[in-house]
Amino acid sequence: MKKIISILTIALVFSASAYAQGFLGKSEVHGSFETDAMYYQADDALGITDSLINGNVFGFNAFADIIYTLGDFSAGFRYEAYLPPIAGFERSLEGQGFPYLWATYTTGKFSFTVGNFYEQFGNGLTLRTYQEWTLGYDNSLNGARIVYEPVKGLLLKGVYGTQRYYWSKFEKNGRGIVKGFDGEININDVFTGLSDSKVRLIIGGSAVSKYQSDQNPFYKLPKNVAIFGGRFNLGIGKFNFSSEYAYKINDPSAVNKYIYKPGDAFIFSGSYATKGLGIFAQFKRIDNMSFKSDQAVTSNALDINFLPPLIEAHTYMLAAMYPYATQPNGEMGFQIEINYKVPKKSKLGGKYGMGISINYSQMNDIAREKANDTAYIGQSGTMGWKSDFFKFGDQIFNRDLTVEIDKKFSRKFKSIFKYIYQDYDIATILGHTGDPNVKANIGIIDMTYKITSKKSIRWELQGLWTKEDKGDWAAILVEYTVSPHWFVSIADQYNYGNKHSYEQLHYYTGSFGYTLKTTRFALTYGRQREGVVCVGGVCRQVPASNGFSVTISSSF
Amino acid sequence: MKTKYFISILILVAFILNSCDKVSPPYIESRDYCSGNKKVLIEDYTGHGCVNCPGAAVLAHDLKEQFCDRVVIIGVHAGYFAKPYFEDDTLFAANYTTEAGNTWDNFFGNSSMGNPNGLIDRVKKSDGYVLYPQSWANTVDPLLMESAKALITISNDFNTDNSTLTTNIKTDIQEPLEGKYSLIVCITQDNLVSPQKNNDPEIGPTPIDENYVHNHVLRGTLNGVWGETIGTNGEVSVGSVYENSYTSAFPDNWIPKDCHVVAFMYNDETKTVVQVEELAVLE
Repeated sequence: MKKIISILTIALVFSASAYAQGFLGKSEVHGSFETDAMYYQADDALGITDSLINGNVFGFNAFADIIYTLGDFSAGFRYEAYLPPIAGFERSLEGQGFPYLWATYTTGKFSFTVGNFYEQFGNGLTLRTYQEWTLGYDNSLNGARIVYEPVKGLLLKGVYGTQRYYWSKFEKNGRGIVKGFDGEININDVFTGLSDSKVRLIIGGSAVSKYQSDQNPFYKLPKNVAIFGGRFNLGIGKFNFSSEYAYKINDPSAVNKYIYKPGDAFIFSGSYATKGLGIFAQFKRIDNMSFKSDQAVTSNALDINFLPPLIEAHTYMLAAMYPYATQPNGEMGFQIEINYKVPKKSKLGGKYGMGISINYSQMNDIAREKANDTAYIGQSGTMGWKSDFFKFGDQIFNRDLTVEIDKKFSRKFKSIFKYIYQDYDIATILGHTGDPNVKANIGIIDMTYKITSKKSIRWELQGLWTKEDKGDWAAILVEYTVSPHWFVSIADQYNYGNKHSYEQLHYYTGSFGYTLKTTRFALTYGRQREGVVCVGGVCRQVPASNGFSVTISSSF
Repeated sequence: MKTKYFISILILVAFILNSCDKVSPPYIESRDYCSGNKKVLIEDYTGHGCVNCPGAAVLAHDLKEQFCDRVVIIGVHAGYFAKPYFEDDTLFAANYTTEAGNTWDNFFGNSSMGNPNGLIDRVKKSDGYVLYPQSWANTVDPLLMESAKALITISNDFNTDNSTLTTNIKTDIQEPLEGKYSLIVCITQDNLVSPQKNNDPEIGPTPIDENYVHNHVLRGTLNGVWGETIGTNGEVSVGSVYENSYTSAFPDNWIPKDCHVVAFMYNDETKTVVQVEELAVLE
């Protein structure tokens, strides 16, 4: 509470100052709220007994974000509560308080922020702090940031601080201190003669360093670890190319099992877009690139950098069964996507045209060799391994072919047809040691029928067929919407192909929702299957559960 | 003006560039841990259904060696992964759970945070008691640098005729201690062979090691789940020696030659362990 009072005091002081200087704008307050609550009940079929629940029948995650602006000044805070966290969220989140407090003042070419802030340099290979509510993930920096734009098109940023680690306060000899610098120049903006050029070029570079005292009794650890990155984005007419390379010096940590080799990461993207056709290709290689502000932490926390995923992110129930998690110790792959819009009134396109999308992505391990004759690959206290930059490893982490067709048949009826083939290394990604890769065929039909201008019904039919893991699944969803306020839906996922008859379960849910302006209420009852939720290649395990869930969200 | 920008950038880049330490081999340090009288308790919360737990057990064993035997290990089987008939598999029929282990697990929150994890002298850090294995060495090291505030001496007398152990524990207070203190005396057992899930081929067969040897397994306490207070209602004075004696009949599956008595003194309020000692039942 003292912190809130402090922020409001600062706000008032700035407001008085601003008023005195005569450039006061109208002050504004904006905010958003969300409450996610779960009520759990026993379900013998899922192995959830009363003794396992042990009285912990409620899970409660909530936040409120408040932002105050007054002219060039803005400040805000976020309140969070996990009392206790919903099943599947880190238990370390349990508690409530104000983990995010900040104030920013912008004057001319400078912007100053103190407190907590989120920042990203380039693609994030050197630094990205962000918050993802659905994962319970927050690695915000707490310190100071200066952004300086000396001329239009040239942006310089400096950051200094420590990262959020659940509710833990920063302690001496604890997690590290992060400092970073980023510079980006937009050539077309800086050189006014090029402002109308069809060739557009942005170049950037960054350097980030972490300081952490060496508390490890066995390994000689570097106190200062730095990472450097360079990037460009080049647009030539309908073509666009972008790339970033980052290099990290020795960073032995629990994630790489205390090896001393440097790390590097490279991503390259190329795209071509014209009316009705888009082609996108991407290549990525990561070698020993976990970079955390505490070398002893392995969980989803304290990441300084971000390794962007390069895999089609699926959202349909069964398609999301086997999501890919980025492998920071090494992965190498590519993605190609073609989007084509079959023109209206053509033979194939019909009256409304038709969209076709094909995506193929593959992610392998990197090729590794012994660093020397006396150590095995990955041995702690050694250089770890040697790896040929251009050579793919034999182990396939994930392959995914997705073909999607969206077709509008009439004014009232449209549909999406989707086929996915996935080859998924469940042993590496989900830790199912000894299990073979899951090879799954997935089919999805998503149909929407507009009954009236406000009422519509949508239904999904899905099937997942595999000989591995839990075998075949079928799923159905029916959703009735009365826009803009109401929706009701029922869904069922049926694991009919499970080799254990007692695990051939229905995971049924019923949902109801009401939306009024910016406020949304949703109530769901049913079973949630065990699984993994991933956002941006960062994942959390979700245990099976049964019960009610309520979500209320609002913003102003 | 442009020179000013350029110089500012150069200073910032130089600042970052200066912030990197390249470490030269040898990367592994060797320190002498054999002097000192403080011992540290590692409670390894584990279960036979946990694929990463053998790795943690090996780590705990390695730390005991690297820290010159000044670490005492208790393997606490508790929580989901320790359930007998884990996932309805008869292979995992073994039940190593105990009332004490379950109670501690519930209190400290170990299994709810995902095994393997542990407690180091039950020290509470800002984010709780539970420490993942990668933090164990870092946490043990500074504790071993401290001098022992109390010394514990164990003497055992095992009567083979009636399989009864009499253990005598002397707690010698070396430094003034505020607050109230208790003593927990428990039995651990080595060489229990039963299946264990495992994902590390360097430790044993994967995904299940059917002949896994479980060591340091907590079998029970001799004086209650939270032990009993020592001194005057838990208050102790420097220079005093407190003696406690316990007699316990061993069940058939407690093999005396594989068992140890582990005794540790802790602060009632903080739960922090002051000192721990271990002695084989058959000396």
